Amino acid sequence: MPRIRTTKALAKRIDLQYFTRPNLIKRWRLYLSIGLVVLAVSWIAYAGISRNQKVYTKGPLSSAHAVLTTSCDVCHVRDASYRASVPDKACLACHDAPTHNQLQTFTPTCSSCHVEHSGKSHLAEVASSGCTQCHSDLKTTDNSHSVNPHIGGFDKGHPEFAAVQQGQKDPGTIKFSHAEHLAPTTRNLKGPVQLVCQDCHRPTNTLEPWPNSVAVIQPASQQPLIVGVSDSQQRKRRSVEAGGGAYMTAIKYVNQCAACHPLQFDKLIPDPAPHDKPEVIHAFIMKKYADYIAQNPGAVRSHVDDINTDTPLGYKDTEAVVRPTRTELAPLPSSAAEWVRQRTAVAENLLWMKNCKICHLSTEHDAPGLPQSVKGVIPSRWFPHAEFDHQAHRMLTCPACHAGALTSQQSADVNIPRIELCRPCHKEAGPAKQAAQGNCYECHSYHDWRKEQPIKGIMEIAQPSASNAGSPSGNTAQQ
Amino acid sequence: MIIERSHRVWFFGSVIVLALGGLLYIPYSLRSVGGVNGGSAPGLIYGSLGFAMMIFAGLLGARKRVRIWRLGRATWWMRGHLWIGFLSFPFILFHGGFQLGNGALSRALMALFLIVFVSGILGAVLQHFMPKMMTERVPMETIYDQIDRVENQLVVEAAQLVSEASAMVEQAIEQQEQSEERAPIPAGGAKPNAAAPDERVSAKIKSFFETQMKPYLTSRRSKKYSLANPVQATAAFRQLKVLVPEAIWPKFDDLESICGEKRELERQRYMHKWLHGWLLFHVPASYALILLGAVHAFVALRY
Repeated sequence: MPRIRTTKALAKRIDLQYFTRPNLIKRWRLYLSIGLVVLAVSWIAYAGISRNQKVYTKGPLSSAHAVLTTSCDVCHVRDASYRASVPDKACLACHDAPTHNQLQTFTPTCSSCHVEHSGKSHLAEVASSGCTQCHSDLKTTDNSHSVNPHIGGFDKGHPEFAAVQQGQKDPGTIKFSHAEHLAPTTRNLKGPVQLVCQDCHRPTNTLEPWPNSVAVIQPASQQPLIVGVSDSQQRKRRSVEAGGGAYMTAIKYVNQCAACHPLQFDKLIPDPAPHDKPEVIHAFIMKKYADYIAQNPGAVRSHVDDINTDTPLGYKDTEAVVRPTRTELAPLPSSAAEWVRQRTAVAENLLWMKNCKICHLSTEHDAPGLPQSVKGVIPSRWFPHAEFDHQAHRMLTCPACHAGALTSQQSADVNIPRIELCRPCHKEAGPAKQAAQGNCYECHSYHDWRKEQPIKGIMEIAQPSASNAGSPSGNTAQQ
Repeated sequence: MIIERSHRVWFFGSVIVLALGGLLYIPYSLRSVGGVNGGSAPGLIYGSLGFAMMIFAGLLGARKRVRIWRLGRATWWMRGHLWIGFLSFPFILFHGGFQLGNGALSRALMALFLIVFVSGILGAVLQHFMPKMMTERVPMETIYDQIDRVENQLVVEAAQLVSEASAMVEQAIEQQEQSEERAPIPAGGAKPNAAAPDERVSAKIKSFFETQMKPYLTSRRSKKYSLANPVQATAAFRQLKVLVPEAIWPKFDDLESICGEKRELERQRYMHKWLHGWLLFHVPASYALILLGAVHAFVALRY
């Protein structure tokens, strides 16, 4: 007789009170629930007792603010309500961030752009949306726009660089051909020389001597410029003039030109004239001749025809130059003073008409007296509203960006690259698109740090007591 | 809970809410300066909605404790738990900008939420498929808590059957001996019947029960026993049947049936662990999540 398995028989196998006893899974569920809740409460309680507010932060502070990690109240100022947000005044207490633009219609709060608790090394690295929230549809208090009012980002609507827009020219007044200087036929005083870009263009933090410098004979005001070697990115943002190699050293005659283009004016005087204002040069020549005639009184009985008339390097004979001739020479000087005057006039005529004319646009003057000083006006920065870091691009060859310089014949040529050349490498998405960063912050600074005002410190440091002086525990920041 | 047609309203409602939340998230994320921030106004709204959904989902536990209250049907609460709880996850992701957070509390919250969400999804899938599977594969399903008790009853039943079978074997031996005495074997006559038992058969049956069947029936880790395999079990019982008269075979069929039932109970035990084991993660993590979520909300609203 097979086993009978009626419902009744099966039901009889069950203990009807089974539900009064918890089963294993339910029991463990209860234990785990209680355990986990107790653990969570203990964690929060421990954090509260030990005053460790770090538990609640949504992330680590930026490296600059890391010291404030356990001092939330320094930035989180409690107002009359329950909230303790970060008001602008908390930031401005330490950072006098100048206004962006006097015509702006909207000023974002500090924390809306500088998002803390994300562990950034640089809090100043703000998202492009911080800029484009206004610049994508720019409004000003007087409805005027000095920049394109519809810029959605580097990839969206960013205009061509102003310096290379249609019709723009180099404002420099120096006659200069990059192509001629880079040609293999170029010569210096010693013979042929192959110049390279770095002979004249070097970052501001370069300490290497300039190959074409004759600094030793120049006055202090014309000495080579050497700026501090190391500098932080932030400093670069604040003072581009003192950038840590971000920009190229300004072109100065004494650094880049003097070795090949000396201002020698007379064989009698070994020293070249200084590259300075005409008044300074005039005084220099007069003094040199006065000193010479004092030491050589017999020279008074000589004409000035033995003055240096060698053609200086770079001088082109095709240019019209009023050359002094023997028939035009004044009669023999009657005194040392007269000799100095005559000799100075001839020397200056040579300088103004030959040496200076090689580079400067105009040194001729019809009126008596000294010519007007003509400034070179060589731009040291091409982006007045943006910053560029040559150091960050040092892996590139110079022609990679400044290809035009190789063939540039005149100084009016603008040899900085167009924005299209930047875009293949720099993209808005940055590393996410295997590209270099392309956000606004890379080139533009919101705050005009030139207007920064000094601030008065508000924080104290707990002074170490005599007993534990020297221990590192006394560095707690307090408000 | 089987997800069937009655879930349509909840499903489409959830899809609509999720689509709305997602559509609003796109301009919010694109216009957010410095990326999506849970502390921004939209971020707080998403966070509040997500937390409210969590609370609602958590109310299912409370509802179960007060079954007699007229607070809607339990199935309605279960559907709400399922779909609203599911919906809370994307809303919390919208709140946090699809990031797991960098702070200790926010990371702990996201870890707990992931545990709750993943275990909840797993549970929903298991609850959808396994009951039907269990019905098919465990016809002798009993109450999970009573499996041990039923197994003990099976041991008793099996022992009874073995005892009866042994008695029948011994009785058959006696009958055989008596018949042999009445009719002696002729010289050069036929051999004795192959199924005719001797004294060793009874001992073998008892030995089989004591050494193989009883340990298998009482064991909680029964897979190592040959009787756990239906093919091997059938073979073992067939070998025993060969030794005994055909009249005793039903006893062995019953014993084999008991082993089959034991296998089903083991299968039920295994399936039950899957069916309810996820709750060991889901429920405790849910409690901790709601508690720490409240702390997070309290602190976040302040700072």
